[in-house]
Amino acid sequence: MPSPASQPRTPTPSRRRIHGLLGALAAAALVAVTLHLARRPPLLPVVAPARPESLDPQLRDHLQRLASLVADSPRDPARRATLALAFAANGLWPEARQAFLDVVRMAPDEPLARLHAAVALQEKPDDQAALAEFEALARDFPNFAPAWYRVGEAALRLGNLTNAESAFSRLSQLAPQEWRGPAGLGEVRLRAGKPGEALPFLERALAIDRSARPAHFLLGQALRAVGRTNEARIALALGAATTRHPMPDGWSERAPEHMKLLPDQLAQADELGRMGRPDLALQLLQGALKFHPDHPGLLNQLAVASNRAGRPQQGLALLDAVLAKDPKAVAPRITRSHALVLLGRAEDALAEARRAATDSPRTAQAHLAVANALLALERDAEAAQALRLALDADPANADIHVELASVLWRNLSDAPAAVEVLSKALQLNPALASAHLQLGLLQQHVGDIAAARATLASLEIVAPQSPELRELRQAIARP
Amino acid sequence: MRRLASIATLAGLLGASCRPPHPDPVTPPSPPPAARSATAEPWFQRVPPSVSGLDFQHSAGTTGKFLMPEMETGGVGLIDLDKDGLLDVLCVDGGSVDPDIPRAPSHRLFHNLGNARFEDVTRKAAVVIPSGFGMGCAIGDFDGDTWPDIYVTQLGSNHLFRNRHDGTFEDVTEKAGVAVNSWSTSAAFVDFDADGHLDLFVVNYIRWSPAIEMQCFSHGGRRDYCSPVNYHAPAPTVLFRNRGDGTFEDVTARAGLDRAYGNGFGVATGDFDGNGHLDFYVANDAMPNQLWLNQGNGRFIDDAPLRGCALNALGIPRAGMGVVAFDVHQRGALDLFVTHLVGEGNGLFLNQAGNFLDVVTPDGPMAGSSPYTGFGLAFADFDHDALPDLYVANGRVRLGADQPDPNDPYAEASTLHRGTGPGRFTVVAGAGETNHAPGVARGLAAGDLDNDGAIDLVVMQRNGPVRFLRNVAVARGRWLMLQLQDPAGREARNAMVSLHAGGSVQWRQSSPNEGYCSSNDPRLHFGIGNAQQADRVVVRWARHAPEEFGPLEAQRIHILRAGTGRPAPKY
Repeated sequence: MPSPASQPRTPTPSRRRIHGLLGALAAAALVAVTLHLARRPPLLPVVAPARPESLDPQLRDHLQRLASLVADSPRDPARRATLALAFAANGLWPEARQAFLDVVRMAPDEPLARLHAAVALQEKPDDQAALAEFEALARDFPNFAPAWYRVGEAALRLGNLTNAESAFSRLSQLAPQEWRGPAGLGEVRLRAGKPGEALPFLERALAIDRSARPAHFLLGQALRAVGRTNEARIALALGAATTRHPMPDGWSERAPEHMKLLPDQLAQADELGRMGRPDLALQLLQGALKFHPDHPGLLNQLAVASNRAGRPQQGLALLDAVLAKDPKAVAPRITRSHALVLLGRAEDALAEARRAATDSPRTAQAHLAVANALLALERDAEAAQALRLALDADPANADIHVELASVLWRNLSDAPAAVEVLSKALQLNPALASAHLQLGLLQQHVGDIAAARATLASLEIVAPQSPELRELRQAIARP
Repeated sequence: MRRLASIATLAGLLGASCRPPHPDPVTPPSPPPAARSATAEPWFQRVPPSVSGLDFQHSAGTTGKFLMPEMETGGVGLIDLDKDGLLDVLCVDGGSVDPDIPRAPSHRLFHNLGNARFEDVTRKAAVVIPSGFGMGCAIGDFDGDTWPDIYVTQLGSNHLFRNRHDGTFEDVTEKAGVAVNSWSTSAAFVDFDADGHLDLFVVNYIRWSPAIEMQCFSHGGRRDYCSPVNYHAPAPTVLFRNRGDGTFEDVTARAGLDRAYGNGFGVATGDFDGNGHLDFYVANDAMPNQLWLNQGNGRFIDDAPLRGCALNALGIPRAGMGVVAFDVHQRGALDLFVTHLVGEGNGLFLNQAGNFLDVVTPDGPMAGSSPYTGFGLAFADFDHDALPDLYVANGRVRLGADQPDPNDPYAEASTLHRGTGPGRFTVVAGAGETNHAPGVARGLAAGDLDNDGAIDLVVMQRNGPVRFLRNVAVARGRWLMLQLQDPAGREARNAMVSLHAGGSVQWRQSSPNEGYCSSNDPRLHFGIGNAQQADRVVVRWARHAPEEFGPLEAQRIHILRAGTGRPAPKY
């Protein structure tokens, strides 16, 4: 009798059931694993810049860091999206497009990935193809407001008013507090030759957001077209010389932190300084300094931020280094002059500014630096003359007019001349709040209260929520 | 000098007509009207330098330092220097702005021998400039002797050359007082004060010198040319008033033109607000454009912001390059068409009773322009179907993500837009590789160089050979050209002409100094489709009462002299 081990065993019915159950379990497990694998995001290569060797070193470093985060967790669409955003923030649109498309494959339910992939296409630029993608996105995600904004904006670019109108209507329904909806509807009517119909839409856009400059500009065109020229002039001035204002979304708001090109960072730092955040500007620039230790523009901007932060001494050393390499450089000399004024060394500041003005007589900022130093020395008449030279170099600059008027009035007690200069400033820019304020204060000072009130009324139209309006109101309210 | 015997002047109310001199024996002259040419057929054929003799090679003097002027240079002018009825060609070279490798520009003048052949007459003509960096030119008869003169714009001193009537020119810059010594780009001869003498409007770009050059980058940090806004140094335009004695006076300040500066590239002239005085429109690069409205008292006011042609519809400044004043919708008003940077799209400012609207339509002349950086441009009816077409010379100023030409990262295709109706155009695809081959095109001059009645093109390429693109559109309709003259036989500029033929009306303005740094055929060209003649032509002269001429026979060049037509009502 063969041993059980040596002979094939005939399965009993119970064993057969167990085997069948195990087989079924195995099959089910296999199916589950297969399904799981199928549902997992695909393993895609990490998008790399086309010419890494030519990249700015700071940007290259940033991209490498983000790419290694992606490599650490290659199925994480959020990390891929961050990398894509970094490409986009630095103008590497082909790479951004590919990286966003990868996110789309990994997270097809994320509309922002498709939105930004289409934006990258638009920046290529391929407006027609981008519009098609925006429209498809809006169809697939009909409640996703940014998609409708993009459809409207892209359609307007291509002159397709019908599509633009329906998109902006939908945007207005989905996001009633978004000014771009009524502004888009106003623009559609303006382009269709119906300025009268455009007006209420544009006024509604500005009621939502008074700072929406494109809406002001569109309103100005509509007002001009219906013959309301004076109002048009102000509205056009309020909206003029702006930049593109795409509707922000959760991803685009993160883009600035990934801007690693030096010119962008210098601009960011300047903006931060103007907004009263020189500490943040310094922090940003210090980060760039590691990669560009000798860049004269960066060193100068660091000194500017140091001046704004009340630490002019720190900037002086940097400026000395720049000027030692390039004694003819004008910008660092101007910055140095400002630093010296802050340090109470006005004579030195004046010498520095004069040299800048001599080296570059057509640079308004050099003359402004001269004026600044002369004012510190209380040589006011000469300061006014320096401001006039600045105006010769930049005659359409309304801000310089306001500076000159201030000196003429407050320092030289020449109110009539100041009024004349302020009038020129307001001709150049009827929306300039500081000019209205100066004029109103001056009128009140000379006892012309009626004129001051008229100026206040103008300022209420031009800048209804501005500190200048508050100041003028308070001044006029004083006995 | 060769004067054509074939020009037969017909005095009288019809003005004068002349057959096209030197019909080209190679190309059948004036084929009979037929169906519109298919888009696959070439409209232009590049005539190789070995055949044409137009062997100019432009040099921007690039040395890898990315000096800004290297990117913008390259203008071209058409001039009938010896009044033989054949347009000669002035090619404006760059030179070098690198102080370490100085080189004077080698501008060259080519005399048209007929049959689309040219010979270099630069030395004989003495159009030689020993220094500076060349940008463009304007052609015009500044001394009123009926012979065209030359003004060359440069970074450095500009130069005015007076035509001596014997194939040679005299450099009269100093005597005339028009040197400027800035970075001049486009210029235009125009009689702004209607005194019968052509004044000179000179556009300046930025206040630049090698000392203020800086390092700029694009596309993730690749070294590239800067934007003009990096320099913060816009320059004022200059206006010279012609005293009528061979000299000019600088009236810039008196005219009020020094009150606003700009990064100026292109200039267009015309009476944009309909007040009877000639105005100037300046296309600025990355700054608001200027519309200098002539107040009629020697003063100008920039009213572009209020009139709606300073910025785009959203208030954003664009990079204005070339500009023409052309009635795009063919309804009797001068619109403004401006070429722009990649991504911005070329812009049409539609004239609405003196105000302008930034118009974008799916089938407008701006359609399809977004991927390109436009410079020179010309509206002309290339296929004579009574609908103006458009050619735009494109070439990048910044690196792009792709590179159509492996040898030049700034090269891209130029574009041809076929007119399909008033204000409507479609991009012609595959219209022959010659007009789509990548290049870094800058200036463009349009004119009938072979006198076959069709408008040819001369396109200047930065750091490349000039391209002579001969019009070979196979199914051309009929045409006629008008040579406008004042009573003294001098070229009459800025006249607005309406031509009635075949039941339709077409509008043109005689303003050859426009586009980008270039000067075009001074004759007005019309395609009239199947019509046998122009039934009537109404000329609204800049300095004389409107007149009516005609009928005028097709397939001819007609000379219309002010004072010889029938009185026409003002409109």
